[in-house]
Amino acid sequence: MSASAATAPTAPAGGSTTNVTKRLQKELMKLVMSPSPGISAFPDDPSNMLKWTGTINGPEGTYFEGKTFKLSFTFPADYPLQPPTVIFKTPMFHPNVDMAGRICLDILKDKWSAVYDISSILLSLQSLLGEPNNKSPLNGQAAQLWDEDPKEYRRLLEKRHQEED
Amino acid sequence: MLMSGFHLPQEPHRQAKKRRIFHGIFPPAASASLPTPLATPVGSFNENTPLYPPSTQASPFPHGQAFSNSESEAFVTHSRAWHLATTFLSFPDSPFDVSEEESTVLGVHKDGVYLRRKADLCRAETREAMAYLMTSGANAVPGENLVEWYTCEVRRHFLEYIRPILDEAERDIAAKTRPEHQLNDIISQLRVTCKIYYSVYSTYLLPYIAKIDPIASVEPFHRSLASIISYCLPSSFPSLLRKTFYAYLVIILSLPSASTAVADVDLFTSPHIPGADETVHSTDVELELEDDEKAVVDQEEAHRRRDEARNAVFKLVDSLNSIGLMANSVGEREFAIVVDRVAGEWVAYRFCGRYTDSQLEVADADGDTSMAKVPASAASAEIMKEWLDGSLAPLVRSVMKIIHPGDPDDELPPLLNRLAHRLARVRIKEMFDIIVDFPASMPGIMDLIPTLNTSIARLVLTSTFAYTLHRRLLHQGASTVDILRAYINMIKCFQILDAKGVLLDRVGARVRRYLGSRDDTVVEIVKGILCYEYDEDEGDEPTGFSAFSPEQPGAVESVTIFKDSLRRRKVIDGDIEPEEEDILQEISTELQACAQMGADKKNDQLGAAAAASLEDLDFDDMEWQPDPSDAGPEYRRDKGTDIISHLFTMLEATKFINEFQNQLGKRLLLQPTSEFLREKATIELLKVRFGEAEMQNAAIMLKDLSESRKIDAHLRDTANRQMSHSRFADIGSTEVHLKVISRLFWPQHMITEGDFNLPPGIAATMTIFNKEFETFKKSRKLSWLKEEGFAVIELELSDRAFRFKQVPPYAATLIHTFGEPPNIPDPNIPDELNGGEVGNAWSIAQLEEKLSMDNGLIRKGLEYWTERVILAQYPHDRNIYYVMETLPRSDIPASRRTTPHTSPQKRQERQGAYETPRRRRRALSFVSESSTDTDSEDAGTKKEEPTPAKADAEDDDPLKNPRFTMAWNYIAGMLTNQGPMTTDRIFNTLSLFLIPMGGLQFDAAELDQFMMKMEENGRIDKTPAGWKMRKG
Repeated sequence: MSASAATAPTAPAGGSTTNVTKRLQKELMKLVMSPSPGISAFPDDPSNMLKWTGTINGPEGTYFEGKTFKLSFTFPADYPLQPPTVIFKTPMFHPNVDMAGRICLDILKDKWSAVYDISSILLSLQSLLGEPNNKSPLNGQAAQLWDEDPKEYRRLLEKRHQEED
Repeated sequence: MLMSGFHLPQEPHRQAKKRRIFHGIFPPAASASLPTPLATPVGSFNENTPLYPPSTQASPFPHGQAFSNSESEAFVTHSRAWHLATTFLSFPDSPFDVSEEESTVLGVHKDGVYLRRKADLCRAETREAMAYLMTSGANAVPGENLVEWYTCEVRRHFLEYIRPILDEAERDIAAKTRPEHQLNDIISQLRVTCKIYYSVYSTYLLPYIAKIDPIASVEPFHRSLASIISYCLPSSFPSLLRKTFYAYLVIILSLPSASTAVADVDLFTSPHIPGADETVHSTDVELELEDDEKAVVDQEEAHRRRDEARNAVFKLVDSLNSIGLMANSVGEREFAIVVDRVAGEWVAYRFCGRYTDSQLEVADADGDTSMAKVPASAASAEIMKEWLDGSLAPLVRSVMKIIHPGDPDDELPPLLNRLAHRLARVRIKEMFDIIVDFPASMPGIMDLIPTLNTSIARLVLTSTFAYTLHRRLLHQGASTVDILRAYINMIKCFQILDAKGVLLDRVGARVRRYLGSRDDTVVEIVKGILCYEYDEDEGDEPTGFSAFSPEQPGAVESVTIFKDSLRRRKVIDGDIEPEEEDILQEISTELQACAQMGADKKNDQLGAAAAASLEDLDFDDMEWQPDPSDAGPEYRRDKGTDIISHLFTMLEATKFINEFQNQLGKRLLLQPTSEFLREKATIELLKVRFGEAEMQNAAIMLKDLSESRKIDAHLRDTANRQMSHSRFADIGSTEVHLKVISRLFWPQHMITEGDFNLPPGIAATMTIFNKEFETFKKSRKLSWLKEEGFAVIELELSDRAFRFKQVPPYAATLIHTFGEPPNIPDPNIPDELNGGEVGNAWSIAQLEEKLSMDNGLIRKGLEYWTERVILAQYPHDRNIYYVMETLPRSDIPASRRTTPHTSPQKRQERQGAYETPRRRRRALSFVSESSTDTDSEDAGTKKEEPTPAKADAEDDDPLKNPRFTMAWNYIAGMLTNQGPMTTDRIFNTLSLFLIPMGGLQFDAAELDQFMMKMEENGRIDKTPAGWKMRKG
């Protein structure tokens, strides 16, 4: 009885997502077993490891202190060769995040490398919250207010921010 | 020169520049084309004083007869008339100024600037001269026909001055200008030019000709002009036209590409764009608009654009028509091409990838009755017709009206037909996906049927499909099961498409060849045939364990107790689920379905097959039909038409039968039942196909099993009675079952002779069985196949418990050994393994000695248990294995693990079939056995010690409970990221994630308690939606 080893994908032409799944399972194990404070991530559905939700706490001493932000991760089938798509699900007001939650961060684009993983993405994002790159803003208003008018910035952030529960 | 006034006074910038460039290359030769000798004095003619010879007549042209008296006179008069007329009619040595002409066209006057000036210049004598030439003069000097001259003049002017402009326009294409702008330039130039040509012709010449022959005289000029225009058109003109038409039609029909590539096409309908400001304005406001308002605005905007595009098309068609480029010419052709293309695009957009009913979303299922013959196809046909009538047809009809005003609307049936063909093309491309989704994709197949009526269409289908097959299915990456499944669907689909099987024959041959080259094809097919499972959980299982049978009340009782204890202890089912194996259940379903057809049908088939060989000789057969014309060389008419025979004819019969026996044998030995009703039925079905003799072995194998049942019952009965008096009385509840098999009829490789020491309880039972069998069946002996069969085992470790339903006997023996420490401690085993931290440890050498088991088998068994995280290899000495009484936890240092030492508490229950032929006899010699053993000592210990888990559960900090530490990390991740969850959901998700780590060590109720404790500890909150992480 030769048990055919590979799980046959239903679409014969489909590539193997098993490697991605394995890698993501490893990452999950790492995240769960040695959690870093302020960041967290978990798959949305045990049967599909390619979609995750992440959470970061706003770093202390920034506008975002005390707030938590949810992000959605979508992993491509050739992860980690390609970066995941990361989007803020919590409404955000930040120079490098646009109104739809899309993020401008080099390691998610051309600077991506296979050595990064979910926790490194989350940590980068957390530091991006405190130190935005105001030179290439996706949200011009936020970039402008960031330095010039902290009060107004805080007001707009509060107005936009709402945590879903 | 008289006509110097025609030089256009002021030109717009672009034109002027163009002309300058042009003149730089082709210097204007103003005097090159004067119609007659310059010397001819024009003035005198006007003053009624002919120069030579002086004429007495008052008018030079008294109805054309004045000159007839003398030839020379006639000649002179004619020359002068000619000169006057041609000078007047000739065109300036420059192209007409489009902007000037256009602007006046838009104004009050019907004629352009040029024509009005020309009219001003037309004096009486010019008219007379023309009249003279057109009436009498034309015949007087043959070859000097004024109309002919005019045609030439037009040609000359066009070639010399208009053509360069057109060429230049083409050269501009490389530059940035958009297609519709270029097209506009070219067309307005042509329109203005043609209008002038025609007007001059109709104003000054036509009246005279019309008197002679109204129709014949217009045609040649018209034709000549049309041909010269189409000759001079830039080579890129058709593609320009196509692009422009396409851009407009895409907008009109709101095709998906409208939003991208050609969205910004200039519609020309509003020259000064009064709407442009509004547009800009509205984009400013856009951000403020609510979504629904925006949608409305968008819709209006789209609507407006559609109308504009429609007008633009009409305008374009109109102007093309006016310069003769539409009807029966490049315009009509390009329009038709574009209509076809957008129709194709629409079909692709509407139907591509949607071939199931739900995807097609058709509201009215009843349809019209004419479509009743092909009901599923009606859906697509309805959609296409609706769309055609709603959007494309009106447009085409209006355009056709402009082009051929008189024609009736007979354009539509071919259009619908075209759509159907387009659809077929889409479906052919998707054929592979359609087949993969087969039963749902029925409408997609129906779309194909109406168009598959030519052999070319059929060829396209098969060759395209064959290519897709090759690319997507017949390669290393596809599993055999997938290929087989696709093949089965293929057979079904193609039988619908073509009942004669020609198409299937053409595409199927390739798949069959490929499958034939794969070794596991047979295996998978047999697996499919034997795929049905016996469900052990069925309460009234008639074919269950023989232990369940009522004649053994004792056994029943023990089983009941056993089941109860299972429930109490929440034993985990420890069998590793084979990775959701993909099995072709379709095959066994099909086999059953074929069986339904009944025996008489089969007889018919056999009879038909016999008749088929004679058929060609039967000259009285009135039903005879030739093979279809496109049948391939390997096509055979009478090939079996059901799926099973397609599959079976692909295989070699012997190969199949061997594989069938192998798998049947394994199956028979591993199933806890001994009544194999479905296998029996299957064998009967296969007999019909392969013949009784071929299936004989399989039939005997089954018979062995049913014999075994009786023997087993008898032997166990005896054994129970004997054992109750023996020293093994305390293990009376152990169940040992045997299966007796006939050596000669079973696959030889299954009869393995490996030997090892079974646990004492079982060995004792086996001895009793041996003896009893010899008395029961005279002159036959049992010979045990210790490696076959299986055992049911329950293991209790200090932090978890498992139940295994199918453990190979060698592995079961092995784990039984680990229930106790070795009698003589092995010096190689370090103390830490004998201390209280972990379970018993054995070295391989010790095991070998104790069990006299083959080293390879021992390693295999150790691996078996290591995989299941029951045993572990000692890291410093790979020959030593120990029992993992508790699962290691990374978060608690090893020294703090508080697990008390307990040996694994095991209850083993075995059922096995062991058989080896002890003597080489021809007679059937067979044995089987089954055994149960219970380690009663361990069972005793267990009761005295409370399990650590229970003790922990009472603790204050729930996290100290080792069973939950790891789980909590997962729960925290889940709740943080996925929001509130109920206990049930947490439990389900956890169990999925924790299976690789050894599974859950608690049940939902325990989890709920744990969660409540965590709430008390302030880590989580209860909300209506479930548990939620507390902040901070």
